[in-house]
Formats: sequence, structure tokens, C-alpha cells
Amino acid sequence: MNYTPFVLACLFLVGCNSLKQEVDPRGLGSEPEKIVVACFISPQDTVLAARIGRSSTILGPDNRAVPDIPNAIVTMSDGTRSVVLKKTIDEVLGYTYYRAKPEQLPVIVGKTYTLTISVPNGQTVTASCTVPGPVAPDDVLVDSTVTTNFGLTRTEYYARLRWLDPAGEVNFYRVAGQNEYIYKTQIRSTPNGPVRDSLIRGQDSWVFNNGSTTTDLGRDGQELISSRGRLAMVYNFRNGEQPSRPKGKLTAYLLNVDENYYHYYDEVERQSKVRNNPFAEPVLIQTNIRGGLGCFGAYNESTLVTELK
Amino acid sequence: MRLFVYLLVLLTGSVPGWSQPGTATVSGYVREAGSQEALIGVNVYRPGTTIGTTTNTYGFFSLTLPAQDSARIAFSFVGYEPVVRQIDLRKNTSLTVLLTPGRALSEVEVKADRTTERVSESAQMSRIDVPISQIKKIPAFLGEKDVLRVLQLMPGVQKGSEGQTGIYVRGGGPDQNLIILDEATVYNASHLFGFFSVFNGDALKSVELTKGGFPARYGGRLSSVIELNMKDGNKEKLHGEGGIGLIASRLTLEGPFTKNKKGSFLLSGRRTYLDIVAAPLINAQSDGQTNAGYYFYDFNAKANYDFGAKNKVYLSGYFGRDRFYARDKTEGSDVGIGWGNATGTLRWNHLFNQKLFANLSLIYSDYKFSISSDEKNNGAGGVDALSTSLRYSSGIRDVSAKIDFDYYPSPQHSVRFGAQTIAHRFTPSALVVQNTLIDRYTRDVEAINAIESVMYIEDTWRPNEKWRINGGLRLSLFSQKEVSYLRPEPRLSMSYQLQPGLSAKASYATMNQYVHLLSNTGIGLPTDLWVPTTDRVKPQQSRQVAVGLAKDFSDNFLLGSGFALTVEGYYKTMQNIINYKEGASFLLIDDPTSAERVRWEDNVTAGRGWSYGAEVLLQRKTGRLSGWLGYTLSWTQWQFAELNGGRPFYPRYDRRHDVSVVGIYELSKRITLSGTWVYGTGNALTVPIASYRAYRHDPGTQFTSGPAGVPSLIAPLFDNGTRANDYDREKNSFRAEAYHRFDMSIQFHKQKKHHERTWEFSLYNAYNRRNPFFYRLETINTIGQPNRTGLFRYSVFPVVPSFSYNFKF
Repeated sequence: MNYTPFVLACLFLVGCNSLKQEVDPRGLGSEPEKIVVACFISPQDTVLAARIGRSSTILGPDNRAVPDIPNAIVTMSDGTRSVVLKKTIDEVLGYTYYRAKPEQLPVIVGKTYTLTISVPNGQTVTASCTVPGPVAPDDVLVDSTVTTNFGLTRTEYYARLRWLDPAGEVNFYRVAGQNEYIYKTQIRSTPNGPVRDSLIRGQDSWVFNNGSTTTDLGRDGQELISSRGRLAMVYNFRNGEQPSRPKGKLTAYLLNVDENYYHYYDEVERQSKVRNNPFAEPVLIQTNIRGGLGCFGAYNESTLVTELK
Repeated sequence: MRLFVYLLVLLTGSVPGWSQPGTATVSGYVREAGSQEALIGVNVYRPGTTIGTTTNTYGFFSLTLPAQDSARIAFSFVGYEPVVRQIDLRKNTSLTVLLTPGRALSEVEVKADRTTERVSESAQMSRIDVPISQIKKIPAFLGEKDVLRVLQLMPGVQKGSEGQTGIYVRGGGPDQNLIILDEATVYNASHLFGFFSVFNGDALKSVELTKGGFPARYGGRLSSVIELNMKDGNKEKLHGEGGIGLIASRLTLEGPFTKNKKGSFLLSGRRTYLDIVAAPLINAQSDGQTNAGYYFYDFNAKANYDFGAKNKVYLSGYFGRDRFYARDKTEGSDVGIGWGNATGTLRWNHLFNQKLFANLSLIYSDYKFSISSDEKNNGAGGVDALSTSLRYSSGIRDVSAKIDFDYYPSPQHSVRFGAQTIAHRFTPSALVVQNTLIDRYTRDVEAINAIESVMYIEDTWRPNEKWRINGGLRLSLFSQKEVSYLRPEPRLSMSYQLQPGLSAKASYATMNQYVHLLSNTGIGLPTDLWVPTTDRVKPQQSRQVAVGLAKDFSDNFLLGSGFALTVEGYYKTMQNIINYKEGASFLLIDDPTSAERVRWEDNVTAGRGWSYGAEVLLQRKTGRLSGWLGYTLSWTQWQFAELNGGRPFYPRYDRRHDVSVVGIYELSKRITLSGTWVYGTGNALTVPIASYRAYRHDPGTQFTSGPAGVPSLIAPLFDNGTRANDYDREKNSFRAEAYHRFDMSIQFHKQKKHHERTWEFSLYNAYNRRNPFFYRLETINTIGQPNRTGLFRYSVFPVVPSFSYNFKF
């Protein structure tokens, strides 16, 4: 009897058994917890706020649900004055953070601020940042493109900011925006009442798919144009038609940010795009928190409001 | 140009000091008996002395000796019976020598003192060649014999990931290899995302890889030159060979096309049939609505004609395509992805006189990658009739003219010189979208034209019995728009014979590379893009020093005859190498409607690298037991201002230890056994060590969509955070598990009435090692327990058995 086919079939079946296996490499999973900081200060802001969490080892049980540290001592200082930020619970999202009034420590352009955080287990981290000056946007450029997906066509709206970069200094920017829109829908006003066509107004933020940060590297003192952000509206279809479009107030924000803020936003944005792709070049997120992770950054916010008809 | 005029004066052989009085020249061609195939690299020498030369790419040799009554000249080549001729040296002689292929078990019958090229007697170092006959006996993945995979088994040459044909030579990336098929550059040597190379072994005559000590005639890439030559075609009779394997079949025909046997041709084709086998299944699954599949094919064709003793013409070409397709009648969609190379070479050999041989080549090479997508909606269900079509393509096309001269003025000198001009045309991306609503949308990143020109001269000088020196200079000029770079590339290789059969060697080479490959996968996808040197991206440059020992064991009591041992150490620096910036992705097609023009240069960053190591190779090319043992110990580091905070790091394919053992044993005339074992240190990877939530804030008042699309106001100071990874301080500080694998095969040969057939059974990864292809972090959900994250290793190939049927007539 010829056993060859049988042997080959067995080998193949043994071979196919789990090409995916869990491994336990040495070194991973033993990283100590680090303090994670998010604190962004601005002369325009009405609050000094910091959110403090902790990192978790990459392997093992997830404790992502409760990363906020509720009993940290958070101190901010400008070299002469200092203020301790108080623990607060966010009313909407329910997380713990630390806050103080800006009157207790005014945020002034050109000044350097230091943030110190210590937690009961003895860990202490510090970070510093310097507040940049204002840069105002000159105008907002709105355009639209027609796209087709699965045979359905819609018009998408985009906006870009244009401004003049101050010469002779290194600048980092972040752009953001919000707009009002209208949305035609059908609403049943009472449980048994008739369905009526209604026009709803809404407002939401722009989405920057190609990054919302930029620098004046190689373009110092020139006119800069941001990447484009997709305007907010309801991206649904009703009976093959597009029921929504931007209309009303349009607010664009130009943030002149410090280098820490820029790296943090840029790298977090880029890492989130590729972190699940095993073939992509991994993005390392820099931090200015000595001994910890996250960012203590400063920004100066300028606003431009227009009306979209 | 003045240099050229001077060199052309040498045509007459009248320059004093080079052409000696009282000499006689023996020149001619060495061919295979039976097929008349020109043989490359045949040793032509006076037995008992070190006076000799080797045949060039066209089988030509020229040897000038002191005039005398007669002398014995030997012709020997690996795998062939050597021939010794008594030649009258009172006058110049032209001759054609025919060598008969040696039988597999004939080693004891061969009595000549040199049956193979002796590594200790050549100035060249860091060169690897594997006879095609040996390649056909080495175990192959799914039965597809692959020359690039065999080269990966050599010291100093490493593979990238499991199963890939990408080649990493002495710390260089896969873009740093110049792969030339009959002088035409092959830009993407991969089929099926790198699992197979584009070269069909049946159509090839020779394969040679140079990884250091480059002679001046080679250039254009930093790390290696892989030169493949197609067979010319049998001039005597029609001959064929082919095979039927699990995934592909192939057929090669060759023979004379004129009665006077002056012209011959070769045609070779290969195609996979996975799509044909799978089509009925896919059709049945989708009620005939869907049709999808993948295939690749390639053709090689060559013709040559002998216009007498002085002129020969060769025309050869390659055409290969890979294609994925998916058609769905319900959705009216038709999507295709295709890529492939096309090359063509027209060559004219001219013999000016017995000492001067010239070849003029006109070369065309084209690599194209394309995506097509068509959708048709007939307007059912209240939706307007609509048709959309999208065409995306990228590629590179070269048109080139090249002239090479081989000049043999005296037994002490072999001079080669020549020039080449390549007109490159790069198409980084071209996109056309058309639909019934927006008419037509076209976006081309302008095609970029560039000219690369080179001139070279080299001389192999044998001042005495002990020394062999190859010195040369290559001048390269690259122009693109307003920028141009002129770079001299000095080359030097030396060998000194310490004792018979043992030489010490040293070499130095500067190399420049003007075309770059953007690849962020490292696995050889067809989306990898060739781009030129520009004002912002400088030419890559390497400098390499190598030293070594070469030993030929003529009759060792332990090893037997025909063994050669080489031990080499090298140090190589690389400048202006490029890499994608962190997080950059493949170019320009992520948002086809984007109005923004992105320069590809914005996505790349330049840095430097260095590599050093030692390599040992013990090789035997013929005999009942043949094969080799190779070991490499190496270190490679990169340093980029924009990567890893500017600190040096180990690139992904830095490999400390690399071992390969290849054995071929002719058990009998009918049975051949072979096995390979490879071991390599794991790839250097970046794996996160911790995770956290990265919180951000948004300017202004925040709104979010509430129930039924009604916006509700919230005003958080921070968002809920993005999950972020914290990596080790140093990039690529995690080492993948080591790679090792054993392959084996057995071939049964039988001579039938009209043909010879071979059955081959093989096992790839015989002991079923789970080699890592990539690692991935995943969350594991177990009921009743908290979620946890684990690191998973993904492997691609378990043990893979295969068989194939091959025939030859």
C-alpha cells in the first residue's frame, strides 16, 4: 500500500495548525507604571486644567478603564508665583482632573511655566513650557468637491486657513474649526403624531484627515496655508439625496503652539493612524514630561468668524 | 572623451609598452558541445603556470603569449569536461573550443589540474556564483526553482521576511541591488508580493552576485550587482524542457532557426493556475455573479544570429505580469491590480581584431504598477445610472545605450572600458477618475525625466606570478532638471598568492546610487516606488573595504577535491540613504480627490548607515556531494536626524548571525537528494512597552450629536483620549525570535525513449518551525476574566510539501 498521500495529508494538517501563537518575550510586560500628563495653557483660556493618568504595561490585564489618578498633588509655577490645582470631576464625562483659575496664575506671553506632579507612591514628574505670542489668521478658504461612493454622489465642503508667518522665529501651528449646518429630516413630534419634515440646525468640529499641525520650517516669514479640514454636516443619505449642508456661523481657530504641544499633537495623530499596522514605520511620541509621559504645552489662540450662506 | 580617443587608438595595438613584439595571440570562443551555447567565465590558461584568462559574457577569450613553436592551452569550466589543445604559437590563431557537459558522477575521471575557476587565482573577491544546474537540485518552495532564493543562502546575503525574495547584502536594503537580465535593469524582481522572483531558471544560463570589490564596469547601486544572462538557444537542434508544479507550469523551447545553424532562438514561458482552479469554486459560491483571482506569468525570448567571425547580433526580452482581479455582476464592479516588468536588449558583438572585442547594447526596461476600478450602476431602485472609472499608475521606464570594449594587449593586462547613457522616466503617480457626474478628474504627479551617464575603465594586471590587481575608475553623471551630480568612483582589488592555492585579497570600492526605492513595508510590495535623485534628495553613496583569504583545496584528504574556502571581512559606510519618515504611508493615493499636491520628498528623510562583518564560505560546485556551508557575522546601524531622536539604531534586517548549509548528494544516476538548513538572528523591531491614553483638547465650545441627530452641548476640557503606545527609548530594540528552517527534496530521474523526466518531492520547513512573519498586540477577551493584551506571533508557512514533474528533450 502506498502511504505517501496519507503522510503528506497528515503533514499538511499538522502544519496548518495555528500559524498564530501567543509568545511571551522577556522584558515586555515589566515596564513600571508612568505618570501621564495632559495640560495645555493659553492666555485666552478661562481655566488652568491638567488631567493626570498612569500608563499600563503593554502585556497583561487591561486597566484602561481607570487610568486617572485621583490623589495627585499638581502645582504650576511661573518662577515667582505658584498655584496648586484642585481635584475636580468633569460634569459631562465624569473623569477626574485638576483645575485652578487663571487669575491665580495668569498665563502671559513669553513666560515659562513649570508643572510638578507628585503621587502618593512617591513618584514625581516635572515639565516646563513657554507661552508663544499670537498669530492671527488672514482668511478662511472654503471649497467643495463632488465624490461618489457606491453610486451615491455628494458634495463635501472643506476649509483651509491662511495666515502670514512672523519672520525670524520658529513657529508651530495647529488649526481647528467649527461650523453650523442644516439638516432635513423627518421627526415624529409626539409618540402617535404624524411624521413631519423638519429642518434641524447643528454645529460640530472640522475633521483634518491629513493632520492639523504644521510648522514654518523652510517657509519662515511666508504666507502659510493649512491642510484642509472637512466641514461638519450630517453625512447620511435619504432617498439617494444629500439632506445636509453647512450653513451659518463658521469659526476658524489658529493656534500658535509651542514645540512640545506641536510634537505631541502631530505624533499622537500620526501614531493613531498606523499603530495597528504591523508593517508601518512606528511613530514614537516625544514627551517633555521628565520621568513621565504626555505633554505640558502652551498655545496662543486666534479666532476668525465668518458667515456661510 | 579624450580618454576614449586614446583608448580607441589601442585598437591598432600600436601603443608601445602594451603590445609586445615576438608574441602571438590565441583568441576565439568557447561553446558547449551539442548546443553551441556560449560559455561565460571559462578558464583559459597554460597548464602549470598562472598565465591565463577567462571568457567574457559572450564566450570570447584572447590570450597573447610569447611566440614559440607551440604551447598547450587548457579550457576548463565547472560542470564540463576540460579540454587541452596544442596550439601553434608562431602565428596568431583563432579557434572555437567546444566543451562537453560533464556527467554528474564523473569527478574521478577528470584529471585536469583545474576543473573549476579557482578563487585563489582571481583578483576579484566578494563574488558569488551558483551553477544553474545546482540551483535546479536545491529544494524549492512549492517546486518553483528560484535563483534569488538560492542567492539568499550565501554568506553576506540575507533574506528579509519569511518566504520573500528581497535581498539584503552587507547591510544594504533591497533597493541597493542592481538586478540586470541581459544588461536590462529589472526594477521589481518579485511575483506574488515577493514570494517568487520573476526569473525562470529554465531560461537562464548564468547568475552571478557581486557584493564587494566591484570592478569599474559595475555601478549604479550601493550594495550588489546581480547579473543574470539568458541562454542563447541551442544552435544544433530543437530542444525543450518544462515542468508541471503545484502552482505553476513552465515550458522552454530552443533551437536553430536557420539551416546553416548560424541563428538560434529561445522561448520560455511560465504561468500560475491558481485562478483557473479556483474560478469554478468562486463562481459556484456566488451563483455566477462574482469572479476573482490572481495569476502571474512571464515570458523570456531570445534570438541570435552569427554574421561571420566578427559580428554577432542578439535580441532578447522579458515580459512578466502579476494580476489580481475581482468582478461582480451584481454590483457592476470590476477591480484590478496589476504590475510587471518588460525588458528588451539588442546587442551587437563586433571583433575589431584578435585583441579587441566590442559590444554595443540598446536596452529598454519598464516597470509599471496599476490599479483599475470600474463601477457601473444601471439606475435601478431610484438611483441614477452612473458609471465611474478610476485608473492609477506608477512606474519607471529606462531607455539606454551602452558600449563596452574588452582589450587584451598582453598576458599581463586585460582592459575593459566603456560608456553608458540611461534616460530614466519616473512616473511617481498618475490618477484619472472619470464618472458621469464629474466628467473627468485627472491628477498627475508630473513624470520626471533624468539622464544617468557613466564612463569606466578597468585593467586586470598580472605583474608577476604572485600578484593580481584590478584597478579602475568609473565616472558617473546624473542630471535632473537644474541639478546634476558628477561623481568619480575609484575601484581597486588585489590578490597576492601566499602559496599555491592560497591567496590574500583586499579591495576598495566607492559606489553611487541615483535612483531610490520608497518602501515602508520591507516586504517587496508592488507599490514600492522608484524615485530619482533631486535637488532635495541627494545621491546615495557607499564606500566599502574588504579583506580576505581564498583557499582552493585541490586534493584534501578530508574534503576531497574541488572545495574552495573564502573568508572575508568588510566595512561599509553608506551616506544619504533614505527612509520613510515615521508614520508616513505610501504615496498620494490615500485621498484621490485631495486638492493638495504632496511632494514625495516630504515623506522621506535621509541618513547614514554603516555595516561591518565577517563571512566564511566553504563551497563545492561539482561532484557527487556538492553544496556549501556559509556563515556571516555582521552588524548594521543607521542614523537619521529625524528617526530615533537622531541616535543610531539597528535597522530591521540587522542580523548578527546567519548560517546556511546546502547539500546535494547524487545517490545514484537516478536519484538526487538535497537539503538546506538556514539560521538567522531575528529582525530588529519596534514593539511598544507600555500603553496610555493621550488626552487632547479642542478649541472653542464642543458639540456632539445627541439622539436622533439633535446636537447637544457639552463642554469637556479634555477628550476621552486616544490610546497611545510608549516605545522603548531606542528604535528597533526588540528582537524577533531567530529564524531557522530545514528544506529537503528528492529527485527521481529517468531517461525515457525521447526525453528525460524528473519527479521531485520536497518539503519546505520540514520540521514545521513557526518562524515569525510579524508580531501583533491583541486584546484577549475571556468570559469572567478581565481583558488582557498579549503579543502574538504570526507565521506564514508551516511545513509545505510539494511535488513537480519535469521533463527535458
